Amino acid sequence: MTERVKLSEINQHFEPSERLFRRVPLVDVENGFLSNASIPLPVFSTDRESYLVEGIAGIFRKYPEMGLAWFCVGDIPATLTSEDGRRYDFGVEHRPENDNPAHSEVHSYRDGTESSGLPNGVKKKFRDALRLKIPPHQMTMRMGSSFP
Amino acid sequence: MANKLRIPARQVSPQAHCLPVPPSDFADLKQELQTSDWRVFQRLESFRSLRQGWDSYDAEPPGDVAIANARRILHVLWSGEAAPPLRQISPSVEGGVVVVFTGRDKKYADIECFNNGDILAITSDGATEPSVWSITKEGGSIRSAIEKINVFFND
Repeated sequence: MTERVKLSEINQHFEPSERLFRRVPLVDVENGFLSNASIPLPVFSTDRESYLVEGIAGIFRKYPEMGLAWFCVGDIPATLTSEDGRRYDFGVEHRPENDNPAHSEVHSYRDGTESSGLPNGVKKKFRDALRLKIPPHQMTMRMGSSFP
Repeated sequence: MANKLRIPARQVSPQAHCLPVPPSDFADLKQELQTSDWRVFQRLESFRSLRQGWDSYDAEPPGDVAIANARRILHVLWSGEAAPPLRQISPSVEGGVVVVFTGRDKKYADIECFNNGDILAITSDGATEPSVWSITKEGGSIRSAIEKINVFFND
């Protein structure tokens, strides 16, 4: 599998309905409640559904102690504005890795370039907006589980 | 040794305690706290054992400053006459600790203590723009934030 990914396989086209998977603390799944604390910024890793080679179980393979949550590409807030009026955009990029062709990253941008200094207030709003898109039925904890 | 928390009884949802907790090193404090509050406190202390990448990615573990500030929040929370409904206390993938409150109708609030010492609060009703504001580690600032969260939940 390690030879599967080649640069030519990078695909930056994401349908808004494509699902992105992210491992989350088990306590969130047990509580049926995704905490803002489980969503990082300005960059975080996900696995895109269309490139999963081992299905959902593959995301758990090395981390059976973790839970899993999913959201759709279209659920990512497109834009948020800081208190002082600066606009930040958000999007997902396909960043395949040798052992994980599905690896993708959610990024934040300012004026079209990568933004590393995201204000904490914007981070909080982003995380809250995404949390609201991940209800309990979009989380699971068992290796090999499948979502509806 | 921890600062002693002089705290009245406060009921916390059993859902707030989902991770194993370490053995107690705080016998005196344990006697002062209600069992549920003690478990929340132990859960907070358990975050000290987390390591880099504890979230299976690359999250920083909560640092001493964040944990100390979270303790200040619990102190104020449990010392007050009325406290908002504590849902859980969690390590943050941003590096820090988050104290989470939830209420009816999708109402959500949290206070996040970052490893760099910043403390940020948010209230969100799931429909309108959330309110985010900075607070300091001083008791008055934390108390004011908790009162604001209480008003939000009772509104």
